[in-house]
Amino acid sequence: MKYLRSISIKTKLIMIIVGVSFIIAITGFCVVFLNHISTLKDDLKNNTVLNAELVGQYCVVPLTFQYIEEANEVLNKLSAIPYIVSACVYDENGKIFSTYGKNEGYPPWPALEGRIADEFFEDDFLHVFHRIVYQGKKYGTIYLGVTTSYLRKRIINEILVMLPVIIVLLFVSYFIASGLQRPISMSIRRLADVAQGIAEKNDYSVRVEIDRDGEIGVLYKRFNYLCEQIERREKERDIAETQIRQLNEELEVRIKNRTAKLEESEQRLKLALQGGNLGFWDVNFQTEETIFNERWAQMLGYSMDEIENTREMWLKNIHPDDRERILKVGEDYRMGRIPKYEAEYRAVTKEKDVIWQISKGAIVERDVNGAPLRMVGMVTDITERKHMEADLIKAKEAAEEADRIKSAFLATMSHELRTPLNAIIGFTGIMLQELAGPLNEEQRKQLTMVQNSSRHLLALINDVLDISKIEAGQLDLFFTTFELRPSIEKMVALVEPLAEKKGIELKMDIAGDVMSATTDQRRLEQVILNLLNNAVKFTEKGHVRVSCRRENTHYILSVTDTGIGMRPEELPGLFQPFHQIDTGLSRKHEGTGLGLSICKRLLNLMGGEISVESQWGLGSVFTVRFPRDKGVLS
Amino acid sequence: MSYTLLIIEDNEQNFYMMRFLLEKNGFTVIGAETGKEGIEKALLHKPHAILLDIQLPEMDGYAVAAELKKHAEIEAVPIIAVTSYAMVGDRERILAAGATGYIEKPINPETFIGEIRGYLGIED
Repeated sequence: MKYLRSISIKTKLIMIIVGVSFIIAITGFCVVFLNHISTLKDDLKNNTVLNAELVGQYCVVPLTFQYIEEANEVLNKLSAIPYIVSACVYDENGKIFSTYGKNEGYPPWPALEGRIADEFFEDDFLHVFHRIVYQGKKYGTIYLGVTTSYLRKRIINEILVMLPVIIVLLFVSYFIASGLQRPISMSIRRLADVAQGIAEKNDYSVRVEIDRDGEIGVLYKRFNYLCEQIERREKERDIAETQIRQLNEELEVRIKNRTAKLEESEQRLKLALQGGNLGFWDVNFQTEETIFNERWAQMLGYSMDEIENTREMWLKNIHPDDRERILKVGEDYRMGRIPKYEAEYRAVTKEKDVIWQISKGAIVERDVNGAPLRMVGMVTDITERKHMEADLIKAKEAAEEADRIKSAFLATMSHELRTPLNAIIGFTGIMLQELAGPLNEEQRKQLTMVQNSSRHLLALINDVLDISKIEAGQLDLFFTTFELRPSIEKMVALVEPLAEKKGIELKMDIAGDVMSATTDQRRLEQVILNLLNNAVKFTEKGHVRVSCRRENTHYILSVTDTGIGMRPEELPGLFQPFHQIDTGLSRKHEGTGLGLSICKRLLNLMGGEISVESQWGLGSVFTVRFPRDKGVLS
Repeated sequence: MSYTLLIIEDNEQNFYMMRFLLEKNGFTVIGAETGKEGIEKALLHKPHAILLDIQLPEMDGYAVAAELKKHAEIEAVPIIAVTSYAMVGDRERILAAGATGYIEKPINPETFIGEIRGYLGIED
């Protein structure tokens, strides 16, 4: 079967056609031949029966008269017929009457055994038994033995004659088959050739020329369609392959870049750790294994070979006094009691030097239950910083001590300067009240001068102390909440006598929404009084107006006068200490020259500000703006 | 009637000045130079009011005021601090220590007596 499948279609077709022709020829031949044999046999049988009848008729007389010699003579005539090889005549009793036979090599005459008429073939023989009847009267039975071997010879001869005919027939059928199969096998061959060409050259653009209809035509079309499909697939595959190749190349480039970047960043990290003097640690809580970098070892004076990757290594370098505390910080962090791990501690180096370190770290891995598995962190040497901090603390303490001394000095000064003045002012007052006896005009005049001078000295001392305290940062404000309106009215009342004396009208313009203020009342009043005093002092005629209103979170208070005013060039230095002295006004107008500068400083402390507008010869407006509430103070 | 005032003041001139002023106005004045002496005299004389200087040697005015207030027999005696308000918070401190009021130094002889009368509740 396998062989059958592998043989060419051409051979197959020829084989089929020739085979079929052969079978038909043989079958036909056999049919004809068998028919022929049957005919021959029938002819032989009929002839023999006819001969038996004829010979039987000749035996009637001998049988009647028991002429055996005559019967034998009759039977011997049968020698003229070569194929009758034996003969025998039985009398009416079935007893052999006469025989003929070339019985060497042939079967003997058979016994009649009651047979009347019978013809049958046995081996190469035809046995014929026939009744001898004459004019209706039975005389006996004749037997003829016929050899059929000549029949076989004749048939073999006939077959021998037929064989060449069959062979010729086969040849003819072969040639016909060859001619018939050619178009079919050629078309398939063509297809095969094209397919082979495609296979060898891998060129799917080749097509089979469609030059016929029918099954082959359809086959060609299908084949071409298949080729088209494959060609299309091939093209798509080529495109896909190109894309894949490009992607691969891109990927390679990307991987290369990434790798380079990774290396770079690793290098950078290393440099950063090195540059930042950062020691690195990585602890695994399960194995207690702890990894350190070179810088970590260096900080403690070790080389990488000298350190072990254990937690013990870390702990043993921590100063014994700090160990417990650090372990606590670590535990608190791991238990989630504190949000971050950060600890400053002392470490002991290989050379037994004590250095300060800060360690910061974080849990980077947890198990399913959230229990820490791994923690990573950095260590920095902060010895220098710690020394600096210690220095700073010392410096701070020194500064604070200096402040205390300054503060004490100012308090002492304040007391020491006022104590003698208290006596001077007190006794001057007592004498002017004539409690110590009557005074003449000159004494009164001079004592009044002493009083004025001592009051001026007191004002100077107060102002100098104030400004010194402010400059030294020793002036603390005392915030209270109070009603602003009565406070302003009180200050106005204080300047009323002077204003009245000079014939200047005092006007108040306080808005309805001016209510309470939270600030240092005494200092605010000091500012208001200072501005009112100045206004009255520098005004010869006209009025002084104090107005106050609210502006969101602030109060705006202004003091307007119709006094001498100031030139633009005088304004910039107005809030500087001893300004009045500089401008040569000091002798004409009594005052310390420190008032406005104190006002400005006080207001700054209160979170407020002061500004001035002035026109020479027309008057000035001083405007103060301060927060209503301490909360506004920035 | 005559009111008795105790002046605790270490400065001689100031003490003399205040005593002169007060005596001229009809008050009886007792003087003490130190806090300790002042407490002793206060307990002894039980004055109508005590004028207390803050800047005293050894025991300062705050301590004196606090000590005076510990004694039930003179607890109700008004203590008037006479101070130069050296530093911020001084007056709050002295009021907290037990002083009834304060008079700023240097004193004004024209208003001083009026203020004292005010603290004693004397009608003019």
